[in-house]
Amino acid sequence: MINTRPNIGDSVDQIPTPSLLIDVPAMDHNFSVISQTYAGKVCKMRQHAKNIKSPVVMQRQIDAGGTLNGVCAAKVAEAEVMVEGGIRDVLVTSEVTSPDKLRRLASLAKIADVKLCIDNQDNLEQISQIASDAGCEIGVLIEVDTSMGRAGVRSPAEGVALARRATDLNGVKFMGVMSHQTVDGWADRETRFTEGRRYIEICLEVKTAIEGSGIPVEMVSSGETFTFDVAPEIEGVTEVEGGTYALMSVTNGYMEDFQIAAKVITTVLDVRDEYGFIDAGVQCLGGPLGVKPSVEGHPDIEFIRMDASESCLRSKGPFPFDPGDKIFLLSAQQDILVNRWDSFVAINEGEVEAVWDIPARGCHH
Amino acid sequence: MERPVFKPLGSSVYDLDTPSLFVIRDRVLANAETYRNLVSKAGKRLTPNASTHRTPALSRLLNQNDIYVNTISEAIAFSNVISGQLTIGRPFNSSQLQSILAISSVTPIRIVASSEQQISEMAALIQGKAENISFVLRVSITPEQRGTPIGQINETEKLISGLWVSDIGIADPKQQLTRICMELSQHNIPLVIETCMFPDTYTLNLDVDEIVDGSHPFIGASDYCVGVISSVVSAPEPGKAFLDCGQKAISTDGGVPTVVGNSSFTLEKMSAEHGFLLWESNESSVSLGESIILKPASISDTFNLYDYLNIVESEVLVGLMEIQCRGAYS
Repeated sequence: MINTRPNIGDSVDQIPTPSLLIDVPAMDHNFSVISQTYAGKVCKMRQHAKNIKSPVVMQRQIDAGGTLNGVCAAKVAEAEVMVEGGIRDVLVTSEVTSPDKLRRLASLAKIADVKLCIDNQDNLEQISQIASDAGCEIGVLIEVDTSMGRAGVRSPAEGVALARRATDLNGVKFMGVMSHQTVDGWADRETRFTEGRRYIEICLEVKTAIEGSGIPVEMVSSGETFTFDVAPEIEGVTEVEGGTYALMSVTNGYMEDFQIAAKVITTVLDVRDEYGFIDAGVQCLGGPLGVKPSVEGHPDIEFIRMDASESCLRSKGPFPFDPGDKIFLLSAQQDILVNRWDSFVAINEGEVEAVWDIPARGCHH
Repeated sequence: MERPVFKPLGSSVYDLDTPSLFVIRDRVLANAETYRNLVSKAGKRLTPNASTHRTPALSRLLNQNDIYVNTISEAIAFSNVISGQLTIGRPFNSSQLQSILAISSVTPIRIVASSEQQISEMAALIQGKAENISFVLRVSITPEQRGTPIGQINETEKLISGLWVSDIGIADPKQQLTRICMELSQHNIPLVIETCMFPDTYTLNLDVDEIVDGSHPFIGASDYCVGVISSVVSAPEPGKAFLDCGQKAISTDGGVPTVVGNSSFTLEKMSAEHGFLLWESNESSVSLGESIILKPASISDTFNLYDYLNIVESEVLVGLMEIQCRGAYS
């Protein structure tokens, strides 16, 4: 990575383009929504590192309140970055089967409270063996498939069997259950509450079955950004795995409590009639399966094509920018976007307030 | 930054930390040589597009001396390893002048400009400061391509050393570019074509002097040359498994990847972190931790997700390179 970093105090116009920006007041607004929503609640936010990948930014939510002082990580390498960044409570939300990675996790468990999700007995025994050999204990949560047909146990009976086995083994500590879910399309509030509650109840059924077998369940980690205000109202849910809310993206715009804080600043390279060409392409913006960003403040401008390092835009009339002008882009898929950058340029009142590295970029191991 | 457990040279590709990106050395070398020979036999010059792999060390391995890159930050890194001309796909402005002069002090530069006015402005900036910087004019074939429309080429700018056409975004490039290249040849200026259509080699028959292409080392032969090795992390029901490789570790910008070596496997979809593997449950089975090799639909976008490139031959790790220009967007 050999991009130029801007200086603190530089104006937005001086930032090399393209760059990934964080609108600090917008992000702080999002963090304050969480701190207010979870104030006085049993249930707390466990912010997901997969969306942000920067312990500095994650710590800002912890400092703002509403969390349990811990985070989620999608992968072991991401968990390492969070612990190295000073966060001492990490839940890894993907199953891990590689002995190398489990040894890394066991090493991490000696200096932090590390938990991992499971959905398979052989994997559980593997974790137990490696943690025992390392002389540590790794917390385990049973993943429950609630709606997505992805990883996770398919029935309360499977959950009970896994929980029972976990309580028998050394090196692991059974902590509880967890689940992911999504809602399709542009969901209104009623849909969010109805669907969100339905999914979470499936997870809670497994919890109830495990408790019915005499095994205490300490944690129920369920809910995401779209259920940030649904999950804390459901008895039994102890934490919510929200990530998108921090920086937001256009496709999650139905979550009206939050503001879009992540933007890409680009420069117009050329203009011809209604067409404009900018210096940001698919490699820095991300366009999984054809998803395209939006131009801030210009809903009439559409992306015609994203090439590797440039894009072609078209407006309904003459293109409203000149060569050299700056354009701000809003991502449609925020965590894919962040994973393509090495730093955030934090902007406040039109000036560079900070440059924050994204040390967990590329931490897919 | 990517944080794999690095494995010693001599390790099996199947022991690499997953997900990891690798190229198969003998195949990419053979592909590069085959295409180089084809272009040479057609009487044209080849300029490899190194932004496809973003890896200066790989340019050295592939013996790429004259190269093209998209950005100035890429040019800075590649200027240290190549011995020929460096073509940069974007114009520069006054704030980038010092970088351009620094690069030009170690290697000749050619800049691809959108307009003759841009060339005049850049020429004014470098006047008296550098002699080995030249300019080519990007020609726009459709309104959706950046550049100067054919009818507006004036040749008033005598600094133009070539005309640059691209088949990116052209619906029927073979037909359209045959006609356009004939038309442009009347200017008696060297003609360069940037192609994204490989393995279609129609450009060999065009009336052009130079071909710019980045994908030929990676998709030339029938066997795959670039892969991402992933692992099964969950197999919750027959006929379905989940891989530790999602959209953050293999690009789906150009489509869903394919599975190498087992035709009964398909990737149903990919989430940000995982791939969803499907098969007819009576045809195959997988076990937890099993390695699955994926072939990316978009090679260049996938290189941009990794910091390290594993070099493999006969399924054995023979080298490790830093993808130095990953994220070099400016």
